[in-house]
Order: sequence, then structure tokens, then C-alpha cells
Amino acid sequence: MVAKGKVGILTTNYYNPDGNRIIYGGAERYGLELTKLLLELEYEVAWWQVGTGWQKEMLPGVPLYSIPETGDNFQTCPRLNQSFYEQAVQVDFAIYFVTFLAYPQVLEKSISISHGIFWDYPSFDAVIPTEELRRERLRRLWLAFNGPRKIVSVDTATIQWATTTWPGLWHKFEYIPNFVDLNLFSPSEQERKDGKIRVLFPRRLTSVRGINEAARAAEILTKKYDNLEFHFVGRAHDDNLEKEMVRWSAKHPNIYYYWKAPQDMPHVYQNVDIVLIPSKSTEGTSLSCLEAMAAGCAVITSYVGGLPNLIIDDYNGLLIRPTAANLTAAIEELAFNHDLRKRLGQKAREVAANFGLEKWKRSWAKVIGEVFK
Amino acid sequence: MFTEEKISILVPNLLTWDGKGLVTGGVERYVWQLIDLAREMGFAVDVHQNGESDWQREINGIIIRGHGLAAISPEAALQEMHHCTERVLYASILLNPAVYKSGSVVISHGVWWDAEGSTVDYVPNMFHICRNALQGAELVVSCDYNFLNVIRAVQPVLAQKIEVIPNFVDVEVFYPAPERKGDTVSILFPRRLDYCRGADLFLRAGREILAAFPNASLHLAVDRNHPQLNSQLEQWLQQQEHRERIIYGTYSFEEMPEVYRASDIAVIPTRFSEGTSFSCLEALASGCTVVATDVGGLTNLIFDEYNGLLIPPTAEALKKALGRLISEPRLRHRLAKHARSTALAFSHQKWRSRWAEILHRVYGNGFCR
Repeated sequence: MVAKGKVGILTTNYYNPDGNRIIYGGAERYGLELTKLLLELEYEVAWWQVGTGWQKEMLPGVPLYSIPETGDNFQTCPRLNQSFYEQAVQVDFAIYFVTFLAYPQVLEKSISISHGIFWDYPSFDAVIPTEELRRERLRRLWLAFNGPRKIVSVDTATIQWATTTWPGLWHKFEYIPNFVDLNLFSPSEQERKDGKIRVLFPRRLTSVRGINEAARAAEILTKKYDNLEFHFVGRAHDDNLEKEMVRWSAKHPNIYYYWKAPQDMPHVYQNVDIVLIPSKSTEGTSLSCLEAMAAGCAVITSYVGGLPNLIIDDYNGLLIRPTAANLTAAIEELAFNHDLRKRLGQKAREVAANFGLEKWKRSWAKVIGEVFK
Repeated sequence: MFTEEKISILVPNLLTWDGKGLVTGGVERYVWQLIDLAREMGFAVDVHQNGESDWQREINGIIIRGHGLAAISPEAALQEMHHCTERVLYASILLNPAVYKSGSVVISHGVWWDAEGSTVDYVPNMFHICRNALQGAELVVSCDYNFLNVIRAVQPVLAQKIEVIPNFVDVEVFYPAPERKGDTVSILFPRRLDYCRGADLFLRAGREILAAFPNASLHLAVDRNHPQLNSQLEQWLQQQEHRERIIYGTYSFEEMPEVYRASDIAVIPTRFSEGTSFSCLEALASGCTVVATDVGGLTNLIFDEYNGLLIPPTAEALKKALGRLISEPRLRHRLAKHARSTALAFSHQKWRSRWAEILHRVYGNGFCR
């Protein structure tokens, strides 16, 4: 079999730079599905990322090379970009897995991906603190956005930000929302009758995901009601935080902390009633949100990033401003309104059916067909 | 003795600048609804707007004052409005940076500057104008989540002042036809004849659809605000081979529910400057199958292939989407069914209760001692 050509994908971290631990987040799952799709479409695939020079195999026949370049400035990685460009003489097409990796130069036939706006939090101000530096960051992003033939965006918020910043740039963008595997994630067959209402926080334990607000709501509501249970299921960025979480949950009856491998998550969703996605920033069309919807849970999301692409308030979920008080009120409303919970859950599943993996693959195949020829 | 608390609404033009005619756009409809609500809550309301001279009119007991200074200097007119009012509600973001009155609500109808062909300093100016509004306002009510997202990407702290209240539709007035019969497919364009609303995209795609599908017809329900655009359109119509399958009309607001009910597909092909479009919501509530672009607040109303089709703003994409809907009646009907059910989540009642809470919080009780 002769491949249609070789695709080089540049990312920052699929593994940690030392090559020891796979980083398992939404973006990495995205990368895996994209690789599988490219293989199905009969392309050869190779990945590049930051690292000490090690080489691995991401999937059988898909090498992952590491480039010993570090140092980013203005949130771009020009040296990584340059090394990739030089090493990629052997590839025909390129995918820049994050938009800013396409700065300053790109292969002629290339696509970049935006996973959502990731700088929309107050302390970003201190990351790039002056007007001059901000202008430089924008100038670099402008070049990064102009290089590839197409930018695939997981949400419309990013497209809207780009077209309000650089009117006319819309033609570069393809909106392809994230996906959920509808066969894996499905509602529970039977209704639980133990009288408990279970609330799930299925995210990484970081501030931008709203962990503090969710924890506060859990403390307030478990004190007030005996039949409410909170399950925090996700890893933190380091061991200390995870230990802290274990200690905190042990102090509170009806609050549990643990984490599960991705293949066990469908079961976790099936055992809960309400799912919280209270992101404060840095959010696209969250895979967790789509999975909770596919599982027929009543979801409470914030109105951040791509979440309003997935939820219409009071139709297939609740869309709130992510404060502890709002979250508490929303959970309380759903916990004691069985009919509302059922209705939102059913509509969530119905809407999720339009975000299936197969549709995602068709949309991507179309873009790939247009650019990689 | 009881006195009413008063809110003065500042709006660019609720009436025409001569004070003689009603202006009928989304912003103006929004303001009339808000006036009704505020009065029911017990607030006294008056309106201040730009004028070509100083004038005063009363409509349904509402005093509307035109400020003639606007013809000379918008800044001076604004100052004058500020001088003769107390508590103020700004019906839209002021396009000239100004000091807003403290304790005011400002309404955002979505981003408006995402237009191609802007000059280099235009965009920073628009962000400056938004920042200025957010700094001055007590809170900003946005009709969509996109404005919020854009601002959060630029000014995350100020974005915390934004509350989103999506636009509404009266689902009692806009309801589906009992049954759509026959195999003809009527495609409606219910927008202004404006470049930003994509009228030309509709015409280019529509012309090819008429040629390809003998059972398709087009319906242009448009305005007559700019007669030269209407005459261009009329010329275009004369050149059409399938002219007999194109209806062209201008309708009053009261006639629109029937127009929607007579249509199978409604097209909202916006290029830029869009919030949670009333037209889109009305089409949804009327059980039309909606084709909308992935622009502005439309993406907060349509889930692609669930309650409509969401396409990029090109004639090619529109033609494909329409062709697909005409040849797949089952898809069309499924989308139409979900269109109505999602529209119910944008009820007028919900909009009113969200706004009542905000008016109460910011402007007080209405009646007070």
C-alpha cells in the first residue's frame, strides 16, 4: 500500500518532556483520534514534540520524535518551530497541533488547531504585563494564524475573538466542535433507587476548572442535606494537591475524591445525576461536558469558551456564571427537581448525538481532503 | 407620599432623528420591551435620543426627547442628556468614548466590528470603546455569550461585569403551521438588505437552488430603508429565469408570523455584527428549518444538525446546505421539530424575569417612599 503522503504533527507535550509520563487530557485524546483518522485515510503519520532527544512510538507505525529545544516567549516556540521545519523535509503535510506553534513559518500545506481561548484569566495580565509585549504577542499570533491554509477551531469563541481582533480572518477557520464516542458514553439503563443524589466534578483539579467553587458548593450542600453526595474525579497537576484533596474529602461525609482511568469514566457518569463543568476560563467544547451529556446527566456548566456551543440554558443543561453561590443554587435546584433533571438529561443526550465521533471524523476528513492534496 | 423612581433610557434613535417616524430594528424592539417591563415594575421612564433639532414627543405616555446637538456633536448631545437626567440606562454601547454615569446598566447587542475591510486603527478603537463601557458601567447586559467570550479574552477582569440575557421570542405569536403539506419547499430570507446580513449570499445561492430544484421557491421579506438597494434587487429579479418562483415583499411586524409559517426553511446568512438574532429565534419558534452562519450569537442558538444547520458565511456552503435540506425532507422535519422545542427555552417570560431582577438590583424597587 502506498500512502497518500506523510503528515508531520508538531505539538508541545504529548508526553512530559522527559518522555516518562503520558499527559492524558482532552488535547491528547484529540491527538490520538486525529492520528487514527489520518491512518484510516491512508496517510503516514509522525509526531514531534519538546524533549531531550528520545524517540517513541505513539501508535504502531507512528513515531514520536522529540526536539531538544526549550524556551518559549510571548507564548510561542519559534525554535521548536524552526527545528520541526528543518526536520520535516521528509513530510508532505503538516499539522500544528496548537495555533501558536505555527509561528513563524509553516509548511506550505498545513493546518493548525485551536483548542479554545486559553489566556482569558485575570493573572494572564502578569504573564505579558505591558502594552508593548502584548502587541508583540498579537503580532506573532497574527503570523501564526496566517501561515496555515486552515485553522480548525473546536469552538466559535476562538473564531469570534480572532475575527474581532483581525476582521476578515474568518475564512481561515473551520469550526469543528469536539466529539464524544456515543457507543462508550450512554445513559444508565436503570434508575437508581437508593434515594441519593450524586453530583460529579469530572475535571482536572485546577483553579480555571472551577475546583474551588465546586468544593465550596459541596461543603455547603452536604452540610445542609444528607442525601447529596459529591464525587470529585480527576487528577491534579502534582501529588501534593492530590494528597490535600484526599485529606479534605476525608473530613467531609458524602464528599469523595478519587480518579479513574479514561476507560472507566463511562461507568462513573452512569452512576451520577448531576455533572458540574464550572470552568472559569481556558475552555473549548469540553470533552467532559460532551461525555456527561451523552450519558444523559443533567449538566451545570459555566458560560465560558465553547460551553455555550453545547448548552442552551434551561434546555439541555444550565449555563451559569461560575461563582460558588450560583453553583450552589443551581445544584440545589436540580437536586430537588426530579422532572427538570430528567428533562435536561434527556435533551442533553439528544443534543450530544450530534457531536458523535463519526461526524467529527467526517468534518476533519473534509478539511484534510481540501488542504492535503 | 409615593414617588416613582425614574430611569432615563439613552438610545441612539428610537425614533427617526426628526422625531416623526418609528425606527424598527432589533435594538429598538428591545428598548420598547424594556420600557414596558420597567413601567410595569413601577419605574417612571423617559427616553433621550439623537435628533436633528430639539424636539419632544409622547408615545403611549412615554416622553421621548430628541437632542438637536447630536447633529453638530454627538459628545455634546451626550453631555446634555447626562445633564438633564438622573439614573440612566444605556440601550447600546456608546460609540464615542465617554464617561458613563455611575450606577448604570449598558446593553451590548453583540460584537459589531468583525467586518472585513476595516482600517488598521479601527479594531483597537472598538476594544477601547468596550473597555470604556465596562469600566463605566455598573454592569453590562449582553445578548449573547460571544461578546462575553471576546471581552474575556482581552479584559478578563472587566468581563466579570457582563451578564448574559439572550434575546427572546414570543412563542405564542410565533408558532408552527399546523402541517406543512405538498412537496414544494419555500425558502425565506427574513432580514434587512444589508451586506452584513448576507443578502447577496442568499441571492447567489438561491438562484442556483431555483435552477436545480423545480419544487423550491424563494421568499425575500426585506426592508425598504435604502431605496437604492431595493431598486438593485428589483433589477436582479427581472433578470431571473425563475422569477415566478420568487416572492419579494416588505411586511409589518404583525405580518411576520404568517410569513414564517408559510416558509419551510429560513436562512440567516449573517457575515458579521450579529447577536442572538430575533429573526433566527422567530424562525425557530415558527418551526422553520433554519440555516444560520457560525457568526456571533447565532452559535448560541443553533446546534449543527440538531435544530438547524450551522455553516460558514459563503454562498457555496449555503447552496450545499439548502440542497441537502430540500433533498432530505426527513432531516428537514427533524430539525424543524427541534427548532420549536429549543425556541421555548428563549421565552419572553424568561427574558422579562431576568431583566426584572437586574433592574431591581441596580435601580431599586420602582415604587419607593
